[in-house]
Amino acid sequence: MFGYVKPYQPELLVKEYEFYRAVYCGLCRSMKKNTGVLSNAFLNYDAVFLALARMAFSDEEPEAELRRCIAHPTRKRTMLKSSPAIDYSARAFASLAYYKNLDDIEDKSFFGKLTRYSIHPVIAHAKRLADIGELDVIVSEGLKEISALEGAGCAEADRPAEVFGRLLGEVFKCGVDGNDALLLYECGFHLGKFIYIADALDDYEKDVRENNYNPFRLTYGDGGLSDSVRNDIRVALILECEGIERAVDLFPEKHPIVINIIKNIIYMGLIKRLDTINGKGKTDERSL
Amino acid sequence: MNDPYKVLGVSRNASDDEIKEAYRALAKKYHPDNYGENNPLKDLANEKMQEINAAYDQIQKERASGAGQKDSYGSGSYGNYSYGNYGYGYSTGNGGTYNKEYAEIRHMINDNRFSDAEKRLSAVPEASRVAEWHYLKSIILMRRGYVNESMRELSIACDMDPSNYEYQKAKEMFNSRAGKYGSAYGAGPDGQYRRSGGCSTLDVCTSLICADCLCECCGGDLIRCI
Repeated sequence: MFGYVKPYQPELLVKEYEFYRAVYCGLCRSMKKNTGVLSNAFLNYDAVFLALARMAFSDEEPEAELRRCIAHPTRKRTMLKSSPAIDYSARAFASLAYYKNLDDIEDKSFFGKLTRYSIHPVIAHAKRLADIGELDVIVSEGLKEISALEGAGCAEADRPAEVFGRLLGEVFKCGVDGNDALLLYECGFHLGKFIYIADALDDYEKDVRENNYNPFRLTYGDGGLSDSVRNDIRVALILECEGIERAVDLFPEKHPIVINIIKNIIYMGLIKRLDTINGKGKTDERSL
Repeated sequence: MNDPYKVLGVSRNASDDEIKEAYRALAKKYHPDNYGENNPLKDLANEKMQEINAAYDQIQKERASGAGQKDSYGSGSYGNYSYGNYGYGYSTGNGGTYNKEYAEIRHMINDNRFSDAEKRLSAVPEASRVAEWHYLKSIILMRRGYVNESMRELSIACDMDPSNYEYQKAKEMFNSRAGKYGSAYGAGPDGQYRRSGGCSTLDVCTSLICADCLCECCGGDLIRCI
């Protein structure tokens, strides 16, 4: 379900690209420190987006430093120093990963269960260290509700998507109040809906092969999705991007570089990813 | 109050045209039509809009009185926008429909009585659901934020009645809204360039020569002839 939210690199300025990488590295370091060694293996681009969104509201000027790390021993890397935005994102994603893993353990086959169980101790440890009490109920209840809808064979992709949107909205706004919370919630809400539907679209072929639940199988059957259907879904997803954009337009302009990266992600990154799913525009899937 | 020039994002010595341009762009961005009736951010957007209007008015006033520059355009700010009926969706004009049942449902939608409208729609037996039924259903779904189902219903309406201007126009509108995204500027017709992967034959040669040099440094030799 994770890893869709990535900038479109050719359109990033070099300094934006470097900043993005610095956030990524800073987040990795923060995970190691806050949620335990090895937990940084679960770092993904969505966590970077959350960190960026929270950063847009913080008065602190982001500070970078040069450090070595195990993954890249040859050269020192620029990484952001730990800040509330980065640490929160690291901890929130540890919680998300924990509940997602628990959820997967329940509905995967034998081998799926085995791999999930094997990573379970690391994630459980990370989640204990993350210790965000408010999120526990929201995330576990949300994922349970989605499982229930999926179990009942809900044919409308929008319903589980909405639940996931609410869940992510809460994750985005947790610990913030007032108008800032409203903006972060809207941003997370539409992003969550985008991720759920894009994920269902991405997994369609696989789910047909393996006879798993997929809302689009129930709506359009197993015979493949026609171009016009794919276009409809694309337009619906772009309307979600529009929803995110409306919120981001109202974000404070404290750190222009952060806002520029976020805009790159919602104007281009998400859509490019979507077009890759639809088999058009084979953009390279290499890491940033 | 904030510096009005800063609010509009222009410098103090920007020309009147530049200011007007900046104002227009911002007014378009925060226009209430973008933040429809049930968007929770509409109050925030409205505040921002007022701030922009005030800033623009103030600059106009300053320039008119200060340097003796007359406001040659004779136009103030755009004034107060009223919330349009379309917002996050599309209007429910009377698209040449004469069916009384559907006309009533349209009224309900225009009055924001979505659950009533939905009840009436579900009461229509499945066999007699015409294109308009799907169109109205699509509007309600859109208002509830179920964009995916909404687009599906809209497509069904368009397929059932391809000659209907209203449905086609709604669909076109969404497609054109979607077209804005993902188009990178200045990067070829498709908005992306191709990055050739792997390494070319030339890369292989240079790598081999490099490796050979390294071997020679250590006393060995990888390739005899060079």
